[in-house]
This record gives sequence, structure tokens and C-alpha cells, in this order.
Amino acid sequence: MQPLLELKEVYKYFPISSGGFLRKKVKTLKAVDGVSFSIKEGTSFALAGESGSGKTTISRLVLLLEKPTHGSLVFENKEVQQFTKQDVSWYRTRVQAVFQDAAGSLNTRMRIKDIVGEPLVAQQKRLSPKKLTEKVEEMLGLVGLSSAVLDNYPHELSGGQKQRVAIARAMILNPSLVILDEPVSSLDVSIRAQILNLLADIQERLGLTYFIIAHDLAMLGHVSAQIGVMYLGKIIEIGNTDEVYANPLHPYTRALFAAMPRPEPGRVKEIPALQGEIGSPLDPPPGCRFHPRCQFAVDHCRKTRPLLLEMRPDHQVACHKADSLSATM
Amino acid sequence: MGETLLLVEDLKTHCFTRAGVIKAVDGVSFFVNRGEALGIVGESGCGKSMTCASIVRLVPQPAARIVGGKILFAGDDLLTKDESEMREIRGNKITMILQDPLMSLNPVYTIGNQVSEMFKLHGRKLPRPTMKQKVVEVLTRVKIPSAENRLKDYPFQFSGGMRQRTVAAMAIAGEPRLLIADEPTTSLDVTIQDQFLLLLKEMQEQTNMGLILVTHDLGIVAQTCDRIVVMYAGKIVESGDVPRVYGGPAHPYTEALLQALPRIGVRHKRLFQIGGEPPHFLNLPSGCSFWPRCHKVMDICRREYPPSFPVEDGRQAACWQLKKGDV
Repeated sequence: MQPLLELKEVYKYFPISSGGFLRKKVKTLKAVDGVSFSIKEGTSFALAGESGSGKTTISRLVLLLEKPTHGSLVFENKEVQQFTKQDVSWYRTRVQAVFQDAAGSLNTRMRIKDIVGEPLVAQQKRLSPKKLTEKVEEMLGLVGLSSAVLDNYPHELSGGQKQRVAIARAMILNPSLVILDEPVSSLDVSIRAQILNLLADIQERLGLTYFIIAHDLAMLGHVSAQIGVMYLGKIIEIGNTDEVYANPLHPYTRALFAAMPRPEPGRVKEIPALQGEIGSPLDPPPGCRFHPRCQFAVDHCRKTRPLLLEMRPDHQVACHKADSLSATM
Repeated sequence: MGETLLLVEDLKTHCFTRAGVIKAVDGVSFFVNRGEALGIVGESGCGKSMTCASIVRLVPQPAARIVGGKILFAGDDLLTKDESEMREIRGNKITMILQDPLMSLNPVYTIGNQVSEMFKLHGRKLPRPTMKQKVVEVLTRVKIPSAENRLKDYPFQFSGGMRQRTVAAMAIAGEPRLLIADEPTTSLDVTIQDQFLLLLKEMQEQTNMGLILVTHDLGIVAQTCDRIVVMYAGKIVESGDVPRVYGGPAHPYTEALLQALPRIGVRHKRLFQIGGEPPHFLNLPSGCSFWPRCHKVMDICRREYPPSFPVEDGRQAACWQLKKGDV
């Protein structure tokens, strides 16, 4: 399978100015610092990480809401940086997104039928109202909503229904890549499973590619085929999801697994809780970015930045100690 | 376990709106022992936060009113206290930690100022140096690094985890006997959440206080609490010891919640899903509130709300399935 989307050594730096009259640039916020990965067509790729790890900046880069400082994005073998205006509008029909807060992403003054139909209206100017309604009804059916909600406003729907509307809107242009940014974290537990199953059904029916961004490892393990774990703007571990979950090699990935609350009373944690907090992307630590919190850190980690290396089949890790750590498993 | 610290009996807190009466808390009974952690679990709008607000008598008035029941705290009924007596209890004997630390901290006062206020308010007038020492002590207890240098900082200079730990410091400053934490870690990252829960557990065990932890996360309850209360649509549907409830949930709702959680290391083609949505309070189904979503529904469920049936060893569940003999 060929990659649908590929990121090659992507950097995104934001200049931070001091304010004041001359707006002198004083610092650089390194939100994304050399990230590469590719998403195969028809599969699900997940990015996991805590807030401040840069995962949302990556989704904004993919949505063309930000331009990368360095590096390139390749979509269906086309270089995104060299897109013409037509290419951009074509790209926007191929890539759609569903965001965390469905309530916030739906216009409160529009009816459901207008919200779901809007992408189509924006793309095809001469569309008969009858065709449009037909298409909207088809999409609502796809996400399991009855056409009774067509004339409703978002506030009349429940949280789960709103997320379904957001999904219907993302699917109406028949995209190839759908970005799901924390698609269920604002929903109740009993509704989450419904939405996750729905997304899996739609993927199977339409052969979609998903790019999922979330912090919940249990959920990601269920929905993704490939996973990358981010820390302070870098991917520190990446590979086949089942493989990474069975043999997490990076100390940070292991700490994340240990910190996940699980419904298992009396569970004894594999490793002690992680000390300290995620560093600042304004002033990331030298060497390995994780070393101030890492219990295995040695001098080498404080000086040299580790590279992503293949430690096991389809499983890359950026850690100087990965060799000795994998031996202790 | 020790003696009963808090006993809530048939508590009813209703909200009076133009559209009708919302029975947010509808006949809730539970208890917390000394040195025990109780988890209250439920989805948004199930009445768990309203239950906590009722305990400290801080329900949003005039819309909401406590209309019935008893809240016995160390044998005293809190519902008979007047406002000045309640002020003595709040922050002193019973304290709360809320979801968003930014809501609990005042942005224009320093951390030192806000924490020392806890000592001042509760009649412990201390000379300045002693006060400072006390504040540093309590901040050190919640693991704020180099606390004496951070007293003049403002909340915005603290990270999310440190802010929530500061709120925790304020909550334990008065050495309360009961601490109510309402979704204390929802705004925190996983690794920071883990640190905070460990701290909470540690404080609770050291001081032998009672802890009520309100959350929607069954994982958090499993690692922090001794007993669990599951709420649905304003009522308690199941309560009991955490290991027993997780090992064999008696109520279909608890069972479904546990099954619907994705688990690390287990991969199914599809997740078990609970159909439908939580009911609206103004439009509750007749009989058991859960029956339209229940996979074990029977005829009687549609007609009558089930009483609480004892299951084993103090466990209780409100489900007709548990009635012995003919239904």
C-alpha cells in the first residue's frame, strides 16, 4: 500500500516577540521539531501525547492552517508546498476534520441540514436543493441520525448527536483522509463506544484513512493500526500499534501506560509514577528531551539527542538506552 | 473500617425551573467511614456534583433546593444548621476540591496570600513568621518544589498540576475530616493526574480523613477508592466495595459501563456499546430510568422503579433482576 499522506522532517517554529515598540523576536517556540511519518491508505494512524507535545500543531499543518517552517508534506504523491490555488481547494475536499468539541464546531445559528450540507454548497455552486437534501439525508443516515433532526438547531441535540452531525459534515465531500482530533474525549463513557463503533463502520464502508489525535492510550490501541508517541515536539516512539503496546520501549511510553487509570482494582503499577512535568517548548532541554524526567538518564542522554532507530520489526524508538531496556523486559 | 463519618439518608435536591421540577438528586443514601475513600461515578447530569454540593449546602439557590432527607456528619444533621454554623464547617471540617483550579484560585492574589487566608478565616490568628512557616509547610506537603520561593508567585506562574496541588493544600490546611474532590483531575494530563491521585490518596491515609471522589472515570476509582457508588439519573443504582463491584457488577448499567471501556491489551472488532442516551430529567421513562437502554429489561422494569436489593457483604443494587422468586 502506498502512503496517502507523508510528513518528511517537518518543523514548525513560532517566533515569540517581546512586545513593545520594535517587537523584537526574543524566543522561538519549537512546537514541532523534525517529525516524519506516513499514513497508508485505508488505515488508521494515531498520534498520542500530553498537552504541549505538538500533536495539535501537526493536525493544523495537515489541515493547511499553518505552514511548516521546514520540511514537506506529500499528499497523494503531490508536494503540498507547491500547491496551486486549485490544488488547495481540491485538497480541502479530500481532507476533512472532526474536532474534540462538537458543540463548539457547529454554528449555533444554523440548522443541522445547513451545517451538514455546507461543505457541498461551498464546493459545488450549482447544486439543486433537491440533490442537496438527498445527500444530507444520506449522510445523516450514515451516522445513524434520523432525518427528523434536519430542521433542528445544534442546541436541541445531545452531545453524542452533535458529534454525529460533525462526522456527517466531514463525510459529505467523500474525503480520503479524515483527521479526528480527540473525537470522543468530551463525550460520556456510554456514548464513546457508540461513536468509536460508528467511526469504525464508516471507515470499513467507505475505505477511509483516519489520522487520530488523542491522549487516551486505551482508546487509541483499539482504533489505530500505527501509532506515534510525541513528547515536546518530537516523535519518541512509533510503529505498529499492537507491537508498540506489547513491547513499549521508550521510558516515556512505559510511564504513560503506567499512568493510565485502568478499571482494575488492586492493580500494581509496573513502574513508579513519573516525576516532574513536561518541559517548555520555548526552552526544551538539551539532548534527549525526556531526560529530566527519566529514571534511566545517563550523561549521554543529557548531551546527545537520540535518533529514531528500528529496534524491532515495524517499531522505532528514539532512546539511547532502548537496547538495555528491551533486554530487561 | 472505622466509624461512620458521613451518613446521607434519602437526600432529595430538586431544581425548580419554568419547564418543571428536575429531580437532580432523588432519594440518595450512602455513607463514608473515617479513613475511607468513596468514589461517586456517573455520567454528566446524573446528579453526582449536585449530591456533593448538597452535603456542604452550596446548591445553586434559589433554583435548587434540598427538599428532603438527612445529612449526618459525625452524628450532626447538617440540614438543621444555620448559615453561620455551616460556614464553620465548610473549609474547616469539610473541604472541597473542584474540577478547574483556575476557578478556585484568585488570579490577582499571590499563592502565599491565598493559602494563608485558609488559616486566617478559621480563627487561627498567627504571627507573621509562624504563618509563613505554616503556609510553606502545607505547600511542601503537596509537593510544590521550593515552596518558600514560590509564595510571591501568582497562579498564572504555576502549571496546571501545581495549581491543583495548591488547591489541595488549601483544602487540607484546616485538617478537615472529610474532603470532597469533584472531578479533580479532568483538566490535567495523564502523568500529572497520576501524581495528583497518588498525593490525594497519601494525604487521605496519613490524616485518616474521609474522601469522596466524584468522577466519570472508572479507572480512577479503581486505583483510589475503597467503595463505589454508581449514579444514574439522580439515583444510586449500585454501591459496594470496589473489588467486588468490578469483579461482578450487579446492575446492568455498571456492567455495561465496565464493558464499554476500551482496555489496553484487549482488542475487539467492535466495542460493547450501550444504546441510546442518558434520559432527560424532565422526560424520565416510567419505571426504572435505565430500562430503555438495558439489555436485560423485563416487563416489571417498565412499570415500577426497583428498590435497592442487597447483593452480598453490604453491596446493594437497584435492579429487578436481583429480586428472588417470581417477579
